[in-house]
Amino acid sequence: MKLELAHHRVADLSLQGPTRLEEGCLYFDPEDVNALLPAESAIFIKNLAVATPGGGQRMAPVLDVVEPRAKAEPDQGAFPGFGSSPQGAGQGRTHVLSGMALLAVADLPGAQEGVVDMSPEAADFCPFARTLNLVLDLGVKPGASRVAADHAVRELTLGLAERLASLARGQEPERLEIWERAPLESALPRVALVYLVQSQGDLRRTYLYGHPVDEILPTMLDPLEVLDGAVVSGNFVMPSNKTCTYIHQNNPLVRELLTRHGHELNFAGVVVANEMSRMADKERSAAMAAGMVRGLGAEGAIINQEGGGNTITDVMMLCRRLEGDGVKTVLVLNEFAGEDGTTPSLAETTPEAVAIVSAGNNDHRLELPAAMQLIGQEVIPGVHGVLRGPISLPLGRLHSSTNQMGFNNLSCVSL
Amino acid sequence: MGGSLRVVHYLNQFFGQIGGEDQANTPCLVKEGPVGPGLAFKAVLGDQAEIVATVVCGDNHMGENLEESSAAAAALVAQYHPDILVAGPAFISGRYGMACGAVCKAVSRELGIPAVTGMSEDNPAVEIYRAHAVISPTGKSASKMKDAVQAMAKLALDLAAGREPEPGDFFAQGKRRLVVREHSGAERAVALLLDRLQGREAITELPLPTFEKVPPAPALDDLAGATIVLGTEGGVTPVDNPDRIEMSMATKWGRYTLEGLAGMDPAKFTASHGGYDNTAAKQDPNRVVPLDVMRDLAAAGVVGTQAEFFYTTAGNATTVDNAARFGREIASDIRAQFAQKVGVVFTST
Repeated sequence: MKLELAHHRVADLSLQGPTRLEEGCLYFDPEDVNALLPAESAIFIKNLAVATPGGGQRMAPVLDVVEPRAKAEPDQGAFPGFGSSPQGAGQGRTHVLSGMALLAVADLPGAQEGVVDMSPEAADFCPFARTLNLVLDLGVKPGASRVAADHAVRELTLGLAERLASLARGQEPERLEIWERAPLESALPRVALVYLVQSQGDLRRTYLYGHPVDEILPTMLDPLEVLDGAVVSGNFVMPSNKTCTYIHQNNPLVRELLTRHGHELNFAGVVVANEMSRMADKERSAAMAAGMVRGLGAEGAIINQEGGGNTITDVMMLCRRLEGDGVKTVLVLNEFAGEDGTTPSLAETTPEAVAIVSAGNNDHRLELPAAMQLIGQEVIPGVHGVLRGPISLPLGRLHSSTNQMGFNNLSCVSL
Repeated sequence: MGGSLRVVHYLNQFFGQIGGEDQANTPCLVKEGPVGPGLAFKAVLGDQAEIVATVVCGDNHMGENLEESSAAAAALVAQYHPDILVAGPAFISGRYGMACGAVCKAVSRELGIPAVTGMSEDNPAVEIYRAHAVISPTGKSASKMKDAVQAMAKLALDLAAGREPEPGDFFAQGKRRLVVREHSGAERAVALLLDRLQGREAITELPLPTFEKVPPAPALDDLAGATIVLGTEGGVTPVDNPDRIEMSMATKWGRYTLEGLAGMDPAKFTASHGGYDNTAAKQDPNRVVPLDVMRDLAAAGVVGTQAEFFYTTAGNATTVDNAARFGREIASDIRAQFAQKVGVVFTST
């Protein structure tokens, strides 16, 4: 398999039509978005907005974040399974509008989403403070079911992501990122990625080729499929430590392992498993996933978490099993160490978990200045202050701050 | 002295010169100025700080009710408006160590001032209080008093001046502090795995926390004569959530009446917990707070009585500290109403 990500860097975003991509500037006529929204949709568009790094805009509640992508082949979907044949990610050329992201803002009942903040103060803490963002400010029509609204938001966001990136077809990319996994070298250690996702019901769901993964048994993906839209997020239950679609598309663990493949390690493969809701299902999933890791001949494995709470059990079960099988593990986990850092960081441990990378403390409190512009709700639970003004919030309320694929640079040290 | 820091010193009955083991039940009292080892501190602190008072308490008195007695000691300390609390040193003495630790914790919390104590590394109080007090490593006995006082005085002055003490000067607290790294978590994870695979020293970023072991209460021997109290962390509340219990990172719990109810009426109760889909719980809250079944069991004489209220919170991303506090407060509330023969059925989601 060979994947070519054709990066077209977007340095500027304008809401003046006609819609086009020209010399690093994306021009988008807001009227064009209506074409993507059926009249009977459960949602409506309030507004479109541009949010820039350092620009001081504040968005809440932010649902998914998506990187605009389109396959060079018009017949192929960038998010296969969503309006296109559910297969084939990971090969051929994919156009990417780099440096920008599409943000969906909506007050979806049952979602517990948080803030994306574009102030300079937020830059280290919120990854999407650092991207040029096109913001979809959406409303749910009265009487619409939340499930219908959820689907509508996703359809619109993915559809727009594809529409925008399709503007790059036929244009020369700024750079080509080409991945083609060389055959495994016998001298190098084999490493597997145990790719945990959270799919535990409505509004807390993940999709694999468009298929909800609530009940799946562990399965395998080629790393290139991960980097090419096979995994989509519908998880709106904890803003900081979940994996949004943008991060699935740009999975940093997959990228880093691919980078090191053939040099320090053999990237043997990706085992995808869901964090299951019932104990027996957790046990089955951990056992089968561990079996797949063994089947790959892996000597080492990285295990990420998505979300928190009962999901730590899945991680620790996997760690225990794999270490018992002689596979050396590294876990990527966020912490809930309390505001002063003194409470136990994890709700569950296993003695085998000797190598953990911390994604930071969700309880760390951050002060952010007044917003230059507010897009979305005036107040959201868990944040002190009216969102237009200066706010105080735990990292747990900041979108993707403690992402457990290791997307951000936060960590903790012990004093 | 104008610039001199105010110190209050905490000592047990022995070092506080009340008496020996026979005086271990002495309730907290205050003496003006330094006492016993306080004089050694005075000599080391010189002009920089003054021990304005010494709080003395019997080790057994403290030990019998650490929470209450340390709070009482903290109240005495507060009267002197100190800049720093110094406790002990306790060396290897377990009871004294626990007392020093508890008083330091209470004073830190109530007064927000640095609280320093000293213990030897095998004092059992070190593990329990290292995160809540700044504990200087000392020798095992009072023969090492001189060194202990020196080290504790230095720590106290550093903390009072806002200087970060040297890592070797105190038992690592395991306090987690957020940092921004040069490399992403993903890069660090792969590097850490390569360290392990290539036989290099692999340093975890997150040392595993240890959990306090809570021994369970003895089982009820007479269910038919007992009262059962229902509780949940499933976030079931009256429909208007009158106390605004948060659905995530909750800071409170509630107690609500069940009087006159044969079961949990969905018109009267709702579920608001961000960690699970609340639809089924809202349709029938008995699924989370099984009042209907408990009523049946009470009617059948399997249990004595069903308490006419239930406790609730939302256990979603709750900090361990808050959860522990809820537990203590709820237990206290139950005890205030039922002296004995009470069991709690606490449901979890």
